[in-house]
Amino acid sequence: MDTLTEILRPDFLLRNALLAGLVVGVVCPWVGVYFVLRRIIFLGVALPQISSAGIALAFLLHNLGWHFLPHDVAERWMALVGSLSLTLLAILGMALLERRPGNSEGRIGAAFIVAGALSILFVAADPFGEAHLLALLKGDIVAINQDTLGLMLVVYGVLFLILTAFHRELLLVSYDPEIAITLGRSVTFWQVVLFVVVGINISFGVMTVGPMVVFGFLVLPPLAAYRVVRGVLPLCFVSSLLGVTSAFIGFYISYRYDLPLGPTDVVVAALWLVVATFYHAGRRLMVSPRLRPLGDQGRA
Amino acid sequence: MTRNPPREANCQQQSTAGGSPEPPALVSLDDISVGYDGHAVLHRVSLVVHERECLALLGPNGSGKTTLFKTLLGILPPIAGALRYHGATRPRFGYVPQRERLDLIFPVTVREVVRMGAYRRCRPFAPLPEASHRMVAEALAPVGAKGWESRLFNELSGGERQRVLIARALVAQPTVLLLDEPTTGVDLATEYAVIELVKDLLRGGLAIVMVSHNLRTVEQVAERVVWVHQGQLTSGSAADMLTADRIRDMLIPGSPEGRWTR
Repeated sequence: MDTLTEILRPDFLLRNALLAGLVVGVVCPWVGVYFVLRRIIFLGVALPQISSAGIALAFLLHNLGWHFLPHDVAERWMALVGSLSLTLLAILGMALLERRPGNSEGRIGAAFIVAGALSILFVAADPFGEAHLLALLKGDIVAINQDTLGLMLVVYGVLFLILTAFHRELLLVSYDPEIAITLGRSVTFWQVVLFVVVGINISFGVMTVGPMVVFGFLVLPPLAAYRVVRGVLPLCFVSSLLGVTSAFIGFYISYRYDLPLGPTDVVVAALWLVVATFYHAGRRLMVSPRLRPLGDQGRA
Repeated sequence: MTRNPPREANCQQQSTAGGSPEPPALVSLDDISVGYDGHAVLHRVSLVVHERECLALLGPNGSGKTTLFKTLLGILPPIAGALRYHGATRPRFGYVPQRERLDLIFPVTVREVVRMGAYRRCRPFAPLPEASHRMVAEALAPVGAKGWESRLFNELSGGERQRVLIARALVAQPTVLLLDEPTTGVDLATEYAVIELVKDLLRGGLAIVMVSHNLRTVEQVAERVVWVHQGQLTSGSAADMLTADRIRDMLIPGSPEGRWTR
């Protein structure tokens, strides 16, 4: 109880880390609903990896003398530009190839492993601060400063606004693109909006809280919520709710027992999935006709 | 058999008895070629959909019926030729796709599916234009799906899904309703309900275009039939187009597409 009181105090030392986790916990699962429903979960693993490669590439180019940003630009901005550029490029490539015949899972798998290898090579080739770069690549949620938190609040706030304001359009183009055209909506435009939201979400997330937390929150809360709700909008809300509670409980456990924050968040989110799976299985058993008394079977 | 007037220059048309004036045209395909990746499935064909008519597209699988459908809807742009909407604005289309095309992983409720039909009139954050519960209920009642709002779409049977998709199309308040195989794979009760609903909608002034493999359905509702065959269209009255000889001529012997129901 003392720990909880301490965490909730306004002057709590790690307040930024807590808030950053909560913000990511709200937005990532909402985005993740589209990953789950569009059957592109594996892309959710590959994109954070590609984003990391983008960060490493940006630093490598900068340190090799390719100053595509002013020299005094803060490292985080440089990381953001690298991460965002490569992520959006990858999403664009995947979107263009999506309608082509061939194995799209194979392409995503290839992108994942190549991005992982390139990240390591870019870092190894960088003449400056390997250890420092590694910290940026895996995200350092505990070290988030006030400026970064402010930026996160603005960016994730805008993303959340887009996701909620245009939920109908994003659902329509994901579920039934032909009906979207019939109803006068531009499928290409709304697909691009969704992909840009995904790209920015992942880039910021990787840079701040790290790829593990981003992927964990993209996938686990929606998978858990999928087992307990009916309807896509409730699925989005419950996913976000599970994400934010995972972030809070994960932070509490991590602080209380001195555990690494990212993995703790992910394990808590996974526990929600276990609970939801048991709930789903229990409910199915309850309504299974085989378990009802024979006299009840004809009444439904 | 006579050649078409210039408006439907490449669609062979049977002359119709009577000579009563045709209702005004709603949408027309003028000498279009349409297909995928630059390869035309239909070559220089023309077709006009008139107000308050029921037009059925028939033909073997792969003949281009659905391609023609998508061109009418503006989903698939023609390679050559023009798609023209008559009247001041584009007509409002209601589209009932083949239900197998929808991914059942989406946990959408019947209410969510039907509401999609009203999205044309929605602004961001704004509530749906009419009292949405009433709107959904009113669309579900005539298709025999009253009270299904909270059911999951992916838990419905094939026939039940068909009814819900028709309700979604009706919520769009269409002037032209396009039905893609509305009675294929449904039970007799649903087939009967769909036929009766189509008749009601025709009496209400709607234009209906349907693709069907079910000749029983077509016979009961279609006034005009267009055979889509070997990249060309042949059209005429339902009575002329649904003779045994015509049906035999249009089907490719020995192909699996020959499994027609009657």
